[in-house]
Amino acid sequence: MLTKIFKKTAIVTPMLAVSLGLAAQSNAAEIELFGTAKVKPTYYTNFDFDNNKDDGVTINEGGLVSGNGAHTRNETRLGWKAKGDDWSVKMIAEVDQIMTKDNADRSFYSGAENGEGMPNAGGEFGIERAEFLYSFSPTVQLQAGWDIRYLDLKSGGLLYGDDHPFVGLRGKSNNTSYELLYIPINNSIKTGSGEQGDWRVYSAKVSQEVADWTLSPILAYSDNVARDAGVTYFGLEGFGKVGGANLSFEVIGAEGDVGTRDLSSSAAYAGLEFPVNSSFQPYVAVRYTQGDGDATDNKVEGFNGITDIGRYSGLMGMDGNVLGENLSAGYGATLYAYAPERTGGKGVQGYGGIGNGASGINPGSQILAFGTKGALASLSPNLSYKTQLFMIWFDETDNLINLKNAGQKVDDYAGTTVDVQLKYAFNKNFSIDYIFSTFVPGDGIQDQTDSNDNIFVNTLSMNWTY
Amino acid sequence: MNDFAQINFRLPLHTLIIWLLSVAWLPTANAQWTQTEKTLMAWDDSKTIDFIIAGDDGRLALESLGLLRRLVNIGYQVTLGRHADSPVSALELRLTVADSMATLVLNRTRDGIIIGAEQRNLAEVMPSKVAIATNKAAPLSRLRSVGNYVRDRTIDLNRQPLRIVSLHQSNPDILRVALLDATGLSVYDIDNTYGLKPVTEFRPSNANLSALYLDAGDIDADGHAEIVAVWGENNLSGFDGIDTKLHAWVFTLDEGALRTASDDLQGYLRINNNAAYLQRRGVYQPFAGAVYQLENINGWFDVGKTPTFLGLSNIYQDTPIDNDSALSLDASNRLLYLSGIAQSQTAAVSVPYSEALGEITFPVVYVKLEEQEYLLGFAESDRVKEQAMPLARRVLMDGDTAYTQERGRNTALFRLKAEGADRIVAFDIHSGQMSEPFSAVGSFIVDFTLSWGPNDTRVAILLLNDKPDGSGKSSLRIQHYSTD
Repeated sequence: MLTKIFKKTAIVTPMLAVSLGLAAQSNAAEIELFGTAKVKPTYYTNFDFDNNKDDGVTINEGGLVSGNGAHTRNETRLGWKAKGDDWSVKMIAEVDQIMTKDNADRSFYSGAENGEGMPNAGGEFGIERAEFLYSFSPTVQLQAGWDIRYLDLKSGGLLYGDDHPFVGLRGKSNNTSYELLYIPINNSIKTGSGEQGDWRVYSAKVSQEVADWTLSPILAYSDNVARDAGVTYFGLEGFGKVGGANLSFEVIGAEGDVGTRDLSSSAAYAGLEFPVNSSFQPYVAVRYTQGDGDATDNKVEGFNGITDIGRYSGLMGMDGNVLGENLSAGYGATLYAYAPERTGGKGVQGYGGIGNGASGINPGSQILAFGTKGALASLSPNLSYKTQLFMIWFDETDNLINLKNAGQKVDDYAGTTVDVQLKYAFNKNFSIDYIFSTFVPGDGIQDQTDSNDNIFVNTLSMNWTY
Repeated sequence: MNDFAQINFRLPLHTLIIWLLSVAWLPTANAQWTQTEKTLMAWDDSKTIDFIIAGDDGRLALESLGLLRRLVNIGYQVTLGRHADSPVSALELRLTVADSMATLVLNRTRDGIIIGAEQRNLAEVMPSKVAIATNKAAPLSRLRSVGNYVRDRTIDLNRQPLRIVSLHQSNPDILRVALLDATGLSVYDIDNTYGLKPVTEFRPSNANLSALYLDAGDIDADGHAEIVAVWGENNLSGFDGIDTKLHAWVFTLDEGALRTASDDLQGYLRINNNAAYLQRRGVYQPFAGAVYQLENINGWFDVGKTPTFLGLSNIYQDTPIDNDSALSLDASNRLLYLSGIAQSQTAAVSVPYSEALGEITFPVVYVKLEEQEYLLGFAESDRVKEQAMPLARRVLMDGDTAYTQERGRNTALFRLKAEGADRIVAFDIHSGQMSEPFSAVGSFIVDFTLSWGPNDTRVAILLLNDKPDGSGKSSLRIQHYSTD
């Protein structure tokens, strides 16, 4: 991404510092301005897998939208970063909205309240992300703010990737790096216990480079007071080369308790990419989250990460594919998640997941993924593509209810998704991409919904970056 | 008010001040510069002026002193030398004395536009010898001389080249240049009418190219210059970021036609002291490995197997002078003189020959990041996937002199309006003495080359642009070095 860099001068720096409300800590400051503007005309079809019923609402990053119809989402970001030799402050203002007159026009008037009764506020910018850094030395860097942090985003995204608030340390020495984070996700103000409704996460990750491999032990503790759950996550993430192929993997275990129930679960991911040439880089990947086989026992076995971030994960991620959308009916994966973590409801056995809304008795999933990406230089020098096919099975179906054949066990096969993305870059600052994505329900979803219509997502994204 | 009270003596060259005072007893026999002083009296903007003197004639001091007094008398605040913190509306006055001829040039500092120029013979009115102090050994000192403005010419271009080299040809009345842009390599002749006449061109078949480097020299000692040209192919379609792929060829110019004399060598090429060199790109680095010399095998050039270039690590940042010394640009854009390299690179002595020469930001090579930065968000289009790495400015050796460009022009806050002037600076490689043999220009110097003009005058051909990345209005400016 091109950034606008205003180099330091003794005159310019104080002017910028004043104009941006920053304290000039050093005369060696450098200011960057950057941003994106994305406009995404989108059409959702049959988000309930049923062509004969009216779809309810679903949600994406722009807000509530119809599960069957058109909308145009607008995601506009303006970021700035001030940095010196050993410090930096970054803030990103964002408005992310469904484009309507009430959103775009900032006039206030009655009758324009949203579904939650909030008055029309137009396209308000807020600080979506902020990151504050100070380096005591290369091995000790203080970090705070609310910016993108992750534990396994570049592999399977099973455990954590989000822009929650954090305070922590990180550093690097030779081939070893580390990151320690304290993540106060929820800090509710309630009477009674000062911790009631709170959710805090503590994490540690060490990455060791060994030849062509990077291996990263991961440890995290989720102190989820709001769900009366304490969960210790532990695992290993790795990247490396096997011959000419790129291997990535992670294995995550979860142990703890949810209320009076014992929690024991696991998840895993492995992907192998074979770059043949710039136009053909096929991959195969498997992604597994353990399901719960008995909602009535004293055990919680459905795996939930702190945030399942499959939508943006390494090989399998695609910003705008159907599996990364909010699919409440039939599959139960919420926005960003690839695992059906909300099926079963958060109830008394829920813990974690996006919005702390995941179920501990969810069916889990096994996804076998095939895909490829690359440049289509033979067609056009600036054209590229990514396409992938997911075959999805529920890991356990004993807790699922069969509407199609009452009393019978729900089938394991959840369905097949197909994603095709075409992108044309006009230059470094403007590109257009189109995503066609469909979810073909398998017997496992047809049994639950008593319907068998495909979900379709068609999104055209116009992207300005600077 | 005392005349000297208004003179702001910020110039660090105290010897210059002492020198001025030491000759103040001389009779003020100098005449006035009528036209220039009239212009200055009528000037209704800021009354500040940078006063620059150049030359080694003792009469310069006397001439300067008289002029300084009159400037102060008409209300000017005078600064000796050029200063970065001068008001943008300040004027620049250059007085040069050489071969008994005094030349006075007045220009606007922020863009170099010349307001007036006069010349006078001093031989009849002043003594020819005055004791002077010189500072030949001081590496950071600067001598300023003035080009022949009268003969300077500008030629507008309808393309946007980023590189230029001059080519020798037999007709002394014609300048031949090669220009490199994103679409190809073009050779032109410039005749007395200062129009461009196309000679030949080469068009690579690749798309998404950017011009990176161009050089020329007689690398096979056949009496005719070869040309080396480097383009970068920037694949905009990659999901993993732009990673510039280099395309580079050696060309011969035979009977007015460009012919390739190598395969696509896919590296950086440069010619220094009539030898051609190559360096490769790294996976996550703009430059990697050693620099190798090209070998000529029956008229076809290929990469040698033995590292050379004094073992220096960057083909554009470093410039070997001989077997033991080199010039090198550091991260602060200073030109360093390295000596003792033959013993060991780590033991080489490094002497700064310049202060910061300003930041050159183009052309660039895009280098894919090993660790992508989630700058704006999670999505692929929100990440920083590559880094733009500017190539070092041209350093051109010409005998005992090294020429390079100084970036004084900048686009200031929010890049709304460019201010300041770029210039070519020259360094005596033995003393480090820095001079300005050609006038500053109120445009961005994208690249430059040297040639010989009519009557064996030294000529600089500047490739200018309205924008620092070469994407604006482009032109050539031909400047003559009057003291040759």
